[in-house]
Amino acid sequence: MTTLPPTLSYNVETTLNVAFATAMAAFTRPAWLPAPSIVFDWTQIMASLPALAVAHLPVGTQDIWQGRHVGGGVKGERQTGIMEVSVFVTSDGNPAWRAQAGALRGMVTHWKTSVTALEISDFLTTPQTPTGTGYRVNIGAMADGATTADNANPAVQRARLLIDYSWTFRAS
Amino acid sequence: MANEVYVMSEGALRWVQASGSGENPYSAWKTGSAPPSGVLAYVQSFSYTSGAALTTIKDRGVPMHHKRTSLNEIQVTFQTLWTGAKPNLSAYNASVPMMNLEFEQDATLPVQSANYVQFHGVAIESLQFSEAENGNTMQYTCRALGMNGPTASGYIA
Repeated sequence: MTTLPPTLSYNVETTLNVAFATAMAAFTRPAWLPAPSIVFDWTQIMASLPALAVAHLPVGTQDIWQGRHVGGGVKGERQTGIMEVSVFVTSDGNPAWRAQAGALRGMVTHWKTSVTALEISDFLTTPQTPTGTGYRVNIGAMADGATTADNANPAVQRARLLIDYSWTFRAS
Repeated sequence: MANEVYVMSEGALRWVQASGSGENPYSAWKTGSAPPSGVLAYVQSFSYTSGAALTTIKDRGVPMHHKRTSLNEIQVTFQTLWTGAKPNLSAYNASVPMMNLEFEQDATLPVQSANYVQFHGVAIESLQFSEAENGNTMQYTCRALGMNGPTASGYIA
C-alpha cells in the first residue's frame, strides 16, 4: 500500500488558506472597513462585499536534484504555486471603496511580508484537527496589482495580489 | 542493445568514511569496520575530472609517441542545498579526514544496467557556503587520490 504523501498540494493550499483567514480576522480595522468575507470558491465572490477571494494557481515542479534525493531515502522535487488573492469592494454608494481596497491590500501585504514560511499541516488525515507534517512551504515574492473594474457589475472593483510559494514535494 | 542516455534524476552520490591504511590507498576502496556512510541529498551539481600528465616525445621535431609521466589527483566538486547535514568525517589511519565517494547512475530500463564511479581517499579541500532565495547552498571542492570506473558494480547500496 502506498500512503498519501503529506506534502501534496491540497495540504499546502489548505495550510495557506487557513493561515491567511486567521491572519485576516486578527486585524484591527477602521470603522469604515467592515470585516471582509473570505471565500475560496469563486461562485461566492458576490455573496458579501468587501471580500477577499483566494485561488491557487499551480505552476509546476522542478526536477533539479540529483536522483531526486531529498534525504531520508525519499525522492522529491521542488514544487511551486501562486496564491492569488483578489480584493473585491463595491463602489456603489460607497465613498470609502478606494480606501477599503487599499486597506485590504495592505493587510494581505502585511501577512505575506511577516510570514516567510509555514509548516504544512496534514488536512487529509485529520481534517478537523490537522497536525504538522514537519515540512514547510516557503512564501516568496508578491505582485500587487492595481485596482480595476473587470467585473460584469461595474460597481465591483477588484485588485489582484499574486503570492509565490514553493515547497519540496516528497513522494512518501 | 539499447544505448539510452543517463540523466540527473537517475543519479546518486554516496559517501563512506575512508581508511588510509595500506600502501596504495589510491587504488583501492578501503574502509574501517562499520564506517559511517550516507547518501547526499539535494545535490544540484556534480562533476569530476580525472587527469594524467602526458609528455609527448618527438623524433626530430615530429610528435612520435606519448609518455604518461604522472597520474594527477582527481578533482571532484558537487553542490548541495544546505540542510545542516554533511558527511561527518574523521581521520581514520590517515592524517587528513577522507571519504570514499561512489557516484551511481541508476538504470531505469531493464535493458540498461547501472554504472558506478568510485573515488578513493577523497579529502574536502574547501566548503563554500552561499545564501540564495531558493535555498542556501554548500559547494564542496574535493580531491581524490584515485578513482575507478565507470564500472558495473557498486559498493554502497
